[in-house]
Amino acid sequence: MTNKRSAHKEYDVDHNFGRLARSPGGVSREAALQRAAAEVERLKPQVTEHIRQEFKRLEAALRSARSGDQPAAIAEAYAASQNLRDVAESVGYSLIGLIATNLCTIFEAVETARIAYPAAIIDCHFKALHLSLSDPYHGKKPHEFPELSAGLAQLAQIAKETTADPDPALSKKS
Amino acid sequence: MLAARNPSINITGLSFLLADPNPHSTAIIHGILRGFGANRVVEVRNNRDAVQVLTEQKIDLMMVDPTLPKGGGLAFIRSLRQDPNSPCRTMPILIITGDTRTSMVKAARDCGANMVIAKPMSPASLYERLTWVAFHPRKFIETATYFGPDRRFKIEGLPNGKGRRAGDSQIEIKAEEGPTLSQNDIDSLLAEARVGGAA
Repeated sequence: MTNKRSAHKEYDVDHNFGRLARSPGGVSREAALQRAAAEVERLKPQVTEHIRQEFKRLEAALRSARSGDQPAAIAEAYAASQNLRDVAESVGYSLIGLIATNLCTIFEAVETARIAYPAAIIDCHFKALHLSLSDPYHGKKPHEFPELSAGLAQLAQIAKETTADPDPALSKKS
Repeated sequence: MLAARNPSINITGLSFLLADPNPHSTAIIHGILRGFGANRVVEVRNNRDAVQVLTEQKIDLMMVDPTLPKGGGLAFIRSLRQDPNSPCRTMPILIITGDTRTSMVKAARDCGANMVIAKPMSPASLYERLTWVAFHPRKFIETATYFGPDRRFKIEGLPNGKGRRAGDSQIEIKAEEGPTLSQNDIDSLLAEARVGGAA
């Protein structure tokens, strides 16, 4: 069916995906979710190794961000943080995911709002990330460490708000 | 078309294309889809390979990361939607991204994607989105500058059927839980902030 208005057309679309996905058969919802969780668990060792590699990449990028060619180093650190954020929580590393998400928020503020590189806040997150990769924090959830999680969230918020009101005590010019 | 509450989907035999530069991210999504019963999942790392797969194989649903090299996932989706000869013009396309800034969500909507799924992804969240796409097909809109699913989302409504519009349906909302921080933690954080502020 097509409804014509001036320079505006509407089409009913029933795609192949919808037709077949709605058809009877396949795996029940409960079984599908259980099987998917088992598949993700099976991938955990591989993803854990990837997380360790991305942590090292982030470490190297942050070292350069402080001393060398900043835009490229910041982009590299942001990319490593994105990779950590995108996978950590899927395999149960919620604390790592939370810290990586905060780092992404901070790098996005640096990138889009062009705030000064908040070295102290980023260092604080990096140290928290280091902790979260080692015992007793490894594999833990943010609610198990409420003070740490809330403190980091507050720091990320400060970095975001620095856009409007830069605080020289928390930011360090490159 | 209304689905029963918590319906199941049958994706065995359907073909999926995952276009994402991060192999670990796609490994997780691939694993989740396999758990759901999918047995045809293709992964690509750039839009050139994505085009090649779409040319050579029949794909039923595609998931694209906006950071897809070269040229970006959003531009790639827009080019597929704008091409009147593309057999994939109305195929469901989901954006998979960890960047949930408003600007990204708007850009994803305007490029012609059906839906945005935030990374990190859980099996439940992916299942919900696939179910939504299967059971709630949206009209496609063609204007001088846009071709894709209707961007005017109808809200699902508030509890007890009290939505903004007469046709809004009911949604299930999780029962209220207690605060994640105790009052002592909140007091101690505020006290530290006050000390920090005074210093």
